[in-house]
Amino acid sequence: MVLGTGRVTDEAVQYAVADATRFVGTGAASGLTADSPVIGRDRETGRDIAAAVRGPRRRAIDTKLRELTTRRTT
Amino acid sequence: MTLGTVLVTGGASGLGAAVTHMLDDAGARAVVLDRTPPSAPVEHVVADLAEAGAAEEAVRTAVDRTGGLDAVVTCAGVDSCGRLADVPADEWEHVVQVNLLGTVRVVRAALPELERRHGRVVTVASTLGLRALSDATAYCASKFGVVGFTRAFAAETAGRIGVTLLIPGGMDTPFFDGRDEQYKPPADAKLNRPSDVALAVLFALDQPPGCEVRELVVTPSIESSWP
Repeated sequence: MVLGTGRVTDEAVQYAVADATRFVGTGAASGLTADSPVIGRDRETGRDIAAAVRGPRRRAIDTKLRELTTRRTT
Repeated sequence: MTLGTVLVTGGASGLGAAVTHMLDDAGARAVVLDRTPPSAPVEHVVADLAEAGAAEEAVRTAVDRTGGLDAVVTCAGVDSCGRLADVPADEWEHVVQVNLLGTVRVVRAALPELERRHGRVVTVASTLGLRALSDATAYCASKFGVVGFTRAFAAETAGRIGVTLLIPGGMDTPFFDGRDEQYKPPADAKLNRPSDVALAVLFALDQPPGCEVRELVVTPSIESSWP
């Protein structure tokens, strides 16, 4: 699942995985860069990092990701 | 429906063109104010709202030609995407010049006519007039400004002029043409047809005396810019 097409930031990733089962940072080991097209995926489980989050926290994550993306519809 | 004569800024393309087309269908007399002539055969005045005095002169020309205005719809809008430090200052300020000050200048110039005829104004903000987004400081500043201006103007002219704030979400218009890919809508974005949003404008313009549509938020069902 692609959650966003904006630039990945440390803040975004850390926020996204705050309730996730595993942390994936933006360092070289994560495979993510500032221009990564998706927010990230757990390299061990293969799960999307935000997909591991459920409930109200997920809604907050989606909102945060939307704020961080630079894609424009308006 | 008797809408009279309606000045539409930005009426050569996008939402403005859709509004102009629908006004024509409704039997109204539409006059386009745009920096480029419309492709459709419609009355128009060419003016760049970013230039000092251009809006005032264009409104005077429209009034002289038509004999008066019953309504103004301010669709003209531009953008310059990018981080504050990266957007040249003149381009950043041009966005505010057109989107906010252009709106104010046209409305102010038309004010005597609108008061004389108990006319209506529909300003066009954006969902980015309600929420903030990175790399959009100029656009957000201008559209937040349109929201504030319109609400204050509605309070100031209550009972004399009908004032509606239109807040559209994403629309499928040439507005995004020529941008860097990162600032364009995603490929799977569901955007409104401008003609659907134009229906909301006509709804606001067509209210009976004494009844006002103060604000309209019109978005695609699943487009993400609002709420």
